[in-house]
Amino acid sequence: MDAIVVEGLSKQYGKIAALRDLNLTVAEGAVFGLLGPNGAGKSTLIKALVGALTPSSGKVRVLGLDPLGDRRDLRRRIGYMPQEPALYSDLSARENITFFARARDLPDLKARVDDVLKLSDLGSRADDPVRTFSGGMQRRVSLACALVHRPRVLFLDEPTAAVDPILRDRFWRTFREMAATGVTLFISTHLMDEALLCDQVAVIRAGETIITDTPHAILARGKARLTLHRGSAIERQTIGGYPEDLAAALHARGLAADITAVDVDRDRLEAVIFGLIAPKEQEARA
Amino acid sequence: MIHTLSVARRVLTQLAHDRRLLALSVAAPLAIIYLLKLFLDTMPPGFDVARYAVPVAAFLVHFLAFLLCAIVLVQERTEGTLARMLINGYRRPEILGGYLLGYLGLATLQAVAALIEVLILFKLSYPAETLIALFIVVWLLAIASVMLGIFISTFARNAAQVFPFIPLVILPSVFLSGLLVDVTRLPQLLPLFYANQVIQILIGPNGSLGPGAAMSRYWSLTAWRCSWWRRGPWPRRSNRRPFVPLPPVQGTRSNCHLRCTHVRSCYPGYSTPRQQLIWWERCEPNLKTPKGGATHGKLGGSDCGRAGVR
Repeated sequence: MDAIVVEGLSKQYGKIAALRDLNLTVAEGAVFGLLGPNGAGKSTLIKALVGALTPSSGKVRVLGLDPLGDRRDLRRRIGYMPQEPALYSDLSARENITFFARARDLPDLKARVDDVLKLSDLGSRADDPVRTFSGGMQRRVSLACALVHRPRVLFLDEPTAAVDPILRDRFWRTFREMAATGVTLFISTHLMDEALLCDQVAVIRAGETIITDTPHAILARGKARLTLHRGSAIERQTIGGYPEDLAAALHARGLAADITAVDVDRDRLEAVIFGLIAPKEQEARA
Repeated sequence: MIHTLSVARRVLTQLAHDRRLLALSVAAPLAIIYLLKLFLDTMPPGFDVARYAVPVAAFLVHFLAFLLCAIVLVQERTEGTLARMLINGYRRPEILGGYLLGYLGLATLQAVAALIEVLILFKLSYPAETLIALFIVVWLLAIASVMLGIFISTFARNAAQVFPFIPLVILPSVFLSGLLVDVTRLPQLLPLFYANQVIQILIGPNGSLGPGAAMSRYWSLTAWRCSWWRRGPWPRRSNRRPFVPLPPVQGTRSNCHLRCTHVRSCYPGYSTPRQQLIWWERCEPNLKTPKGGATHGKLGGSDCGRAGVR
């Protein structure tokens, strides 16, 4: 079953089209990455999915429910971590999480809050005011607020922006663990290397979908540059990005014993995505 | 209701954590009242100090409750916590109700502190019944102030945009409250007008209404009448005719009280022709308005001008 279905979604802010005829489907239990440059419409799409804004046209379904029409039912099943920390700086981490959790009418509130505090690894600082926390700690509290009611679909708007690599790694391990338990994660990011950690990726630019595919399929659209050192001679060849292309290129040469080293410089995912966006940018400028 | 209480609890917890804000919110009105005392001390003997001091205490609570609520709500919007609350499942009425309850807690503290200081500094003494009624009026004014703050916050996208609204709300509140000029010539537009009107009755001679009556009268006055929307807050110019003063009507509070329902009808301190007309109309049930209905208990300030020419 698809956890998220978006059909022909458009959002107009005056003369500016934030989203244009967007189509997406996200399978249940998948980690879906929404990639795009700043201002591509990532946050607008997430807000439309969580029912925080009314689309100009199109259809949105999350777990089969309309985010606007079935707001009450849906909000119990989804979690949302906004781009900014969106916490009360005078309150402690525990008070923040408890306040947002109270809206969900949880039966075992205290136990749930303790669980997510353990997950966010704040240690003895759980009762300190959030204003004394570092940016990374605030992100952890913000994530804990989104997780406390154990949602079935989790929307994360640039969760790892301005987060150090160690914390980013921990976040992604948490996301993968959640996906393993059947939670659907919809993650927006402008960090291309994070896309490799997703099951499926959509690249959007100026409110339009450029591509939706698995990260490896997107990566395979890139090229690889093969360099062969034969004695003192160096041979260079550009081949396809699939592993099979490399094998074919080497087999064509018989992979002779005097080939001492093979370097493959494959396009990084970032380069592939930039390659997809660039023609659109040129069109827009023209 | 649980969610409303949850929001109120969060607001109060925030206030409790921010002790500096709490201290300043209570200390500021106290300091202003003391400065008002220094000013009023320069007035000649016989000057009615209470006429200004008590409404000023109410005004300070009104101003601070309005301002604090407006700014904090705008901050909620800019910091994303308002959107987060809504997405988490708090509904708009619950958030507004929670804010109302939370800030009423602070307003109560301010009202008690300001009224006590006024009574002590200006050596005023009222019966317990009047004091309770005064407190209730100030407290009810604070409800209107918090609502006004919530209303104003909808127009501002950041905290800086609240600032133009401060003079826009506060200065007309003072000008139009009846604190500075004759109350009967003012449009009945802003909450402080009604609060001041009831306060003047309460602190006037024989002025105790009793807490229940003060509450009901305040609400009857503060609930901006449906007709306000139909014809606007001011008399329609096209229908106004020259005013013909009527002879003064002698009456006493006691002999009029049973027949009149309008608060001003029972106030014997009127001296202008317009006030006398209102007094007379209220005490004369057979007087007909131009529309043909009985005036008894139904006329507002704008109707009186028209009724007076007949």
